[in-house]
Amino acid sequence: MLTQKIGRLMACTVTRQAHRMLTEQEIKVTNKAASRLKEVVDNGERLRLEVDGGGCSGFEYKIRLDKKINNDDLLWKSSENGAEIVVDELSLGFLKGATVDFVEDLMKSSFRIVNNPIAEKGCSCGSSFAPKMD
Amino acid sequence: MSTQRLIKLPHRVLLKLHGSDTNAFLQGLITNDVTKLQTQNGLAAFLLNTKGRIVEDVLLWRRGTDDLFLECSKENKTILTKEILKYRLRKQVEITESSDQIFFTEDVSDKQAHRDPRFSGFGARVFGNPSSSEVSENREKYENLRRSAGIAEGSQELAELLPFQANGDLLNMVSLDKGCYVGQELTARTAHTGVIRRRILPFECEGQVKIGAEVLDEKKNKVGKIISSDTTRCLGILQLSSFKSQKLTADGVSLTAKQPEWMPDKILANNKTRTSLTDS
Repeated sequence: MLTQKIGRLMACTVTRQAHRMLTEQEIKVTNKAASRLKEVVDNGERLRLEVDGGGCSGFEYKIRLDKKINNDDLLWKSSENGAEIVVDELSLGFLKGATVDFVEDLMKSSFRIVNNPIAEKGCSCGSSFAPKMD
Repeated sequence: MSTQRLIKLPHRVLLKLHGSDTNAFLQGLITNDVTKLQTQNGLAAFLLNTKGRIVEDVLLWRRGTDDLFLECSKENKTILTKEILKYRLRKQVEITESSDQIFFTEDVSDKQAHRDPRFSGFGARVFGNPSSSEVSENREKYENLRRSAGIAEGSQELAELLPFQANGDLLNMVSLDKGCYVGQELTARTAHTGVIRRRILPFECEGQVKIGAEVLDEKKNKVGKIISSDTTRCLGILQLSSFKSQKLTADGVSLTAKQPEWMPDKILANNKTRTSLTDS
């Protein structure tokens, strides 16, 4: 029983260490986004960035708060306030070099992915994009 | 004749889509509302590119299981599959080619018949591997019926056109209230603010016309282009303002534009003033 618990704890530590940190070249996060994120997260929550098929340009961003972290996730941590962002490997392929910002305008206030060097064309609501393909 | 009631369509192919995310996946890709397949067993739609132009027209069929069968032209199958899979990412969808063959029948009372979702007067599809005595290899008969009905089909005829030029609004191929799909932005804008000046129409012709031949009016102005032809019937895209022109020619052959049964009079009558497809 005790050994099982220890085993699980150890497994937990091991997976946590396995998450590679995102570099500055992979994801940039504005100060505004980082401080807003710190305000909105509950304990243990992180901002999850995902790319999925859909939307009027073919691929759309999905941004949500998530407590889970999976094996293929990559992690970003704010050096200022410790807020965390996770991206899975598949989605990162469509996001490399993009910036996470927090935008407040008349339409909505939200985290948004801007300046994505892979996106060729976005739709007017900003939630979907067409990547530059091959 | 009566025994060979099924016309084999060797140029069409069925792809089987299997997996728990199939409906959600297709809903984000094609122009028509996939939820309509809860109440009907066939659905016609386009797959568009991000510029809103046609990549391929597809027919979706439900055949008694959770799987969906996507019918498309055989020659464009590889490109289409690649285009679709590009958007899959982590969705649970598998695409495999079905070994079932596709047949056309004019007899819609057949139990196995799947009626054409584009126009109810255009027969039905039958799938499978029926006994050879029932099967006719006369594909040209199907193509002639199709040209008479004014229904364009396949990427050779439709690629790069806009969905309304291909009559997607009149042939139940586009939903305007389903939500986002690839190419939706331009399509919605056209539907609500645009004027559709050119559409695909059937023509009677006095001989075979070359594909791609320009349609000329009496003043030799270019008013359209032929996309499909045999010796008596053509399909072409035509400026609607030239519909009544008596002296249309293409490739030196005389043509007469016809109004398809499914096309309301107002489409041809109001081709300059009509500004919204959503007007009644």
